[in-house]
Amino acid sequence: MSSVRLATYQLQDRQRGKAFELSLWQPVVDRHARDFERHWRPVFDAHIEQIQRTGGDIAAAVALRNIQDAHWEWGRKAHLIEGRLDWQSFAVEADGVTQGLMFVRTQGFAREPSQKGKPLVLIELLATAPWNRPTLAAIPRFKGIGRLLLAAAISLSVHEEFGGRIGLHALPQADEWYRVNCGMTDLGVDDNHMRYFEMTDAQARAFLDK
Amino acid sequence: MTDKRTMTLNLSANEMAVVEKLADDKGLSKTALVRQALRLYQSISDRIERGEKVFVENPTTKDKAELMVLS
Repeated sequence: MSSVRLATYQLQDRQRGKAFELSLWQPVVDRHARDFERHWRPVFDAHIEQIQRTGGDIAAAVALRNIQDAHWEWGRKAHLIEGRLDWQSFAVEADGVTQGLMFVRTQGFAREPSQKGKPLVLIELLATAPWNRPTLAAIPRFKGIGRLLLAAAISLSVHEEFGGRIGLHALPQADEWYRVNCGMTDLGVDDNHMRYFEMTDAQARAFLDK
Repeated sequence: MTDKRTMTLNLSANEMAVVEKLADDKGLSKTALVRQALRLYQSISDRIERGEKVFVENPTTKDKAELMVLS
């Protein structure tokens, strides 16, 4: 399977002080999964090893460093959804390396009262490379990868005639970002034991206009 | 985002009425509604082929009913 470049963007590399071209690709393919294994996972593993050596509350330390996704198997997931109509995946590349990854399902139904029962895009997995995370890098290399992927999910929702509606379960440390920065509606902790957020069509328009 | 193919779909008056009502309720065109239905059907069929069961649950009573799909 080959991946198609959907769009390109200019983003400042804050470590090197120069602009880089970022590309949005669909779907996630082997080279993205390889990047995760070769470039992302060693960083995560080093942090986990350090946490284990230090001792104490491991789950809390993992959350504090924002690395709960260290075990996500992007390559396996990409193969599992091949041929599936209800899943789509996206990758952001820059400087020859994967900078962000996202899997979404185009089969969700909204829960927020004003749009209950309407179709939406559900973001199932979203992650940025470790060197782009403020919790892991003193100067995160590219800022805005998560926002770019969120915008891609909204664009897909518009393309599918869902009006830009999206939904997602947030890791605890990301609650505020989705609520305040993205303007999403917090629908509380659900059966998944995670906080569920939705973006209405109006909130999606406001997000894209920012 | 992918290339498209066109087909003619023949439906009974009742089936078309359902398509039109659902499309209206969900805010979708009839094409988008049929695409959604196809995704749902494939998703459920895949699960059943893997030997899984698909249930719907009453949120109040927690009663579960197995979703039957023609295979």
